[in-house]
Amino acid sequence: MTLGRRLLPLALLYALLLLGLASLNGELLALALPLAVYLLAALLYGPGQPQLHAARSLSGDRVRGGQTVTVRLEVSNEGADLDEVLVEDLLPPGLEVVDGTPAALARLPSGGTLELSYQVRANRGGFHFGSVRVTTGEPLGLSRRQVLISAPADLLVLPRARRLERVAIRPLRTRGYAGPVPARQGGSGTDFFGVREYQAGDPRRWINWRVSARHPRSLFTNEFEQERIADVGLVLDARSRSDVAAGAESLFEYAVQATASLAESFLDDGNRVGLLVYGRVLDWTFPGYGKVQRERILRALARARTGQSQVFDNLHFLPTRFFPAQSQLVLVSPLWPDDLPAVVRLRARGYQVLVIRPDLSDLEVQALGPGPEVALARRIARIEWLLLRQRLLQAGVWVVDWPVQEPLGRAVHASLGRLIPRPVVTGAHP
Amino acid sequence: MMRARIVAVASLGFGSGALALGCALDGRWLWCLAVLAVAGGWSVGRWRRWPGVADAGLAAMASLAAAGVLLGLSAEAMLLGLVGALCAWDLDHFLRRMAHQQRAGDGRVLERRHLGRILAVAGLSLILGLVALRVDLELSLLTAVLLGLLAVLGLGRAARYLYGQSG
Repeated sequence: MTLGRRLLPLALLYALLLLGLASLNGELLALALPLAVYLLAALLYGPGQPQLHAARSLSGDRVRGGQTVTVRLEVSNEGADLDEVLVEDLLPPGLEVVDGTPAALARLPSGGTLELSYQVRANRGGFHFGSVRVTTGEPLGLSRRQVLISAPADLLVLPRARRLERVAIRPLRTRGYAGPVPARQGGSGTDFFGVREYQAGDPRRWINWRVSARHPRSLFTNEFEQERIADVGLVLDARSRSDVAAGAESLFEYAVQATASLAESFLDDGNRVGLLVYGRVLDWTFPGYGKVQRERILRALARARTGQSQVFDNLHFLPTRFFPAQSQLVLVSPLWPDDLPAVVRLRARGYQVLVIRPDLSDLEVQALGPGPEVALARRIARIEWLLLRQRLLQAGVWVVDWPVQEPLGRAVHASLGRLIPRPVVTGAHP
Repeated sequence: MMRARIVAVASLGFGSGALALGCALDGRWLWCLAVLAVAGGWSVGRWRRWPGVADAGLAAMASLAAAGVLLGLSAEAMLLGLVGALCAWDLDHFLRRMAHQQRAGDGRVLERRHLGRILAVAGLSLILGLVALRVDLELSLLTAVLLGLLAVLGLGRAARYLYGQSG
């Protein structure tokens, strides 16, 4: 706009001058005078090199998705008076302004300060605020000078995590500390595990009198299944082809939310949890415990982006050496038919595999609208998935089908309640 | 920004009125209608926020003023018309820039300074223009060509300066 605005009076002035000289008409030359005076005034009052300093502050540099953050920007003038200053904060992409505007126009006298305040919001991600664009000009707005002033700040928006009830997992191997995961070993616990011969020191209330009555020469005591903590490896599928969009909704965002919720749930139970984001590259968060690990995982999930790689296009290159042997793997992925051999191979190597499959099909159908083609496509996709699911179940992989419009906790508990096998009793049967 | 709006409307009314009056005094009713049509279109475009309406309006008003001078209409009326249109065009752009302005205090200061500057420019332009219309100079073709070249060169330098600053 500025270019056209500057060009127009110049072009009219040229035209009137040339027309006046060509027709030797002095009145036309007099008509050009207002335009000449206007341009001359713009030239005389043109802005000099501005000397500005910018400082930025955020109300929080680490927030949860959906929370608003107030950005305050102070631009101070360390040079001469500036008649018109337009300050525009260059927002990193992905941030949504919910209140205020990241731009302001004002007069800035020498030593004066212009304050800018607005609120932003984002779903997830790491955002770097870089420069502020400052345009100074004279009051007529013809001559302009633009500078970029650095005012760096970083904002980390962690993914939203819904609180989940305890997720029942059953890996083949557990760790040595007490926890909530059944350890497939007899000992002290709450769930009945088996019966064995009485040993000195066994509590009397554990004696199984019914079995002992059938064997007059010996006593038998009940054994309970030990409960310990476990190693849990979370795998987030970040391949581009696994991200399906339905309107403004993205399957990957739901997958990230699910992974964050699962990580919090497993860590709350005391388990050792690691994360692998499997996409363009392998982003690995080494297994750990507690709040520090939760922060590490949430930060990794905040940064997670989908990407495409020829190497990691399917799950064949899922690096199993990252996960302890016979541990629990939780794969959050829509899963493709060509992923089946890789998942079955994980199972064959002794990992207990749980697949959480976010399902966006209802939202996709809503976005596409009603129609026989949509209904047919949905039916075909459903049949393909059911066949794949059947094969996974046959291989001993647990599958949780999660329609994203439902709470994840409900889907997990509804599915795992059916899937988890009863504990295998390995104690000595009399 | 109320004062700037009022002055913008008044400038357009004053400019188009002067042009129309100049045409009417000479009995050129078709030209008079053309001026009023341009002013009407500009006003509607301003109200409906059409992009580029102010630029098109200024170009049309300047063309009508130049045509009026060539047709022998009152040069004073044409000069007044052009100054009014220039003020209206400038204030339209100013009001658009003010959309970024957030604080009422800053807005009042900017408005006051801008109005002061544009009214000073308009006043000086009118005085110089009216004086120039009274001055009668005989120029030879060579002098006219030389003056023309000088003006073109001077304006070229001014244009380069303006562009360079913004770049």
